[in-house]
Amino acid sequence: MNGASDFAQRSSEVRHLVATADLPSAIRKTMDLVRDFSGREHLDEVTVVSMTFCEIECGRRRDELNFEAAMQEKKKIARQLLGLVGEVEIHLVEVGHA
Amino acid sequence: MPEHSSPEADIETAAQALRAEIDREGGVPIRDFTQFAERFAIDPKLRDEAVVLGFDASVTAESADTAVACREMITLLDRIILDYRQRHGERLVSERAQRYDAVQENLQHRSRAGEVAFAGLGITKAYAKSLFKLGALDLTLRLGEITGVVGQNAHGKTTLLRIVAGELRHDEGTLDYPALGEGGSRIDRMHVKESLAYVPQELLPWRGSLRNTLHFEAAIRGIRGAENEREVRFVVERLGLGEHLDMRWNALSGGYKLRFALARALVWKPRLLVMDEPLANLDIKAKNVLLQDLRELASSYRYPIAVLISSHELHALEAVCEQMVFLRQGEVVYIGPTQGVAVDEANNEFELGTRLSLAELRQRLRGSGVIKVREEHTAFVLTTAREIGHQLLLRRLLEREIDVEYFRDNSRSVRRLFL
Repeated sequence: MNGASDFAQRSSEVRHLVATADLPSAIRKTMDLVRDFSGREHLDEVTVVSMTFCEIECGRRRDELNFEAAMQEKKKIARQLLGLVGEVEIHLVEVGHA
Repeated sequence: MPEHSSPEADIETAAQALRAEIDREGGVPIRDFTQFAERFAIDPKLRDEAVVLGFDASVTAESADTAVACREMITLLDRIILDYRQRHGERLVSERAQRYDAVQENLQHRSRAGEVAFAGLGITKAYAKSLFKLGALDLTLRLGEITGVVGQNAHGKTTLLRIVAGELRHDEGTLDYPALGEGGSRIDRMHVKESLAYVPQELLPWRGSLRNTLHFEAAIRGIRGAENEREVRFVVERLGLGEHLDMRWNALSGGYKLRFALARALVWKPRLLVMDEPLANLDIKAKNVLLQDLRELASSYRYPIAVLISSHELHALEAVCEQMVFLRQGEVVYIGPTQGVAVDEANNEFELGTRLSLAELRQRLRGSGVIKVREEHTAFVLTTAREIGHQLLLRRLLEREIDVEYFRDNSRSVRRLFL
């Protein structure tokens, strides 16, 4: 099985990255997953997720966001990623192919 | 977990093992817990809740919080089991697996990975002034695969890359670009140059704003309107360039210049990407990030790319490449799969860094199974019989109290051909 077409393995990997709070990698992998298996709507959404994460990190670096607030925001990102991956899976299983 | 047990027994056994693990003092078993949820949660919301619980546990360092996380895990575990039983989970899990298998099979069937993007046969190029000659060499590049070209300076790496990229005319041989729709006796080199992405070693400065340059690049490749906006935003975010988008070219570090060059190359989703010495002048982190991105992007399912990359960073390339080419004075010493060097050799070869002298090392290695020891610049090269692998050799080195500052198994690596 070609690794790139193993969408179940790839979505599972994203979930694991979220669970271990490695959001930069989770976002990157979700972007690739969406690009490979879904359409424009999800592509726009995952791009916005990435931009939001970048803003949170910038906010932290500039001390504009305290730790707790940043964690709350990151948790929202984590949930958004899980929602996206779940939707891509449903899309794939319903449509039957990318 | 037993391999041939029923799903009902599986969930009981897995839950029992997980409970025992949670009860044990120490950290939270995030991986096992999320894997359990992934496998047995019928409701995707429960599966995602498990992941979020894992996220919470990962970002908390306090032991009190860990205890709370463990209690929450047990509660969620019970909910997953209850849901599984109430909804006859074994049937649903099995149906889900079948549906996924069918989709996977379909995806696999439609994958373009492995298709030939470039095939060159008998390629040669001679320079009259320097008397240097490249080839003849045969080279095939496939979608989804990365090919690394290694060799010392002025041994033909850039010449080969420029020929493939259509930047340099070859003397003999045939070039085919099935992925670009070019091939046969008359190749439109202008079309080839326009249809593949080439990132030279010396990057030319971008004159306008970085943002506009990317939009322009996408536009001249036929990506217009909302699609242009979407593709540029995506590639910028994917390569982590958002914070730097409003900077000027001259204000960027070497690493970011290269990442912008990569963004420019990838924004129009090329099938063939040629990169000449992209790792030169990058710090270790930037190198690793670049290679990881290349690996992930090349093996895309929908847009697989054939990548040809040259570098002196042999081991870094071997970590991401499917195929390696080793050139010496323009001739091919090796072309083939990564870690495919010397597969028929009767011995293994290792590189060792130690403070010991050659004489001391030889003395201590007596009876260790090492056949030959020689000094090579700042390290030693040890040759052993085939049956002595790196684990066994390392054990024997440690048993003999040999301090190991550096150790590498070069048995199947192109590095073996350099030494």
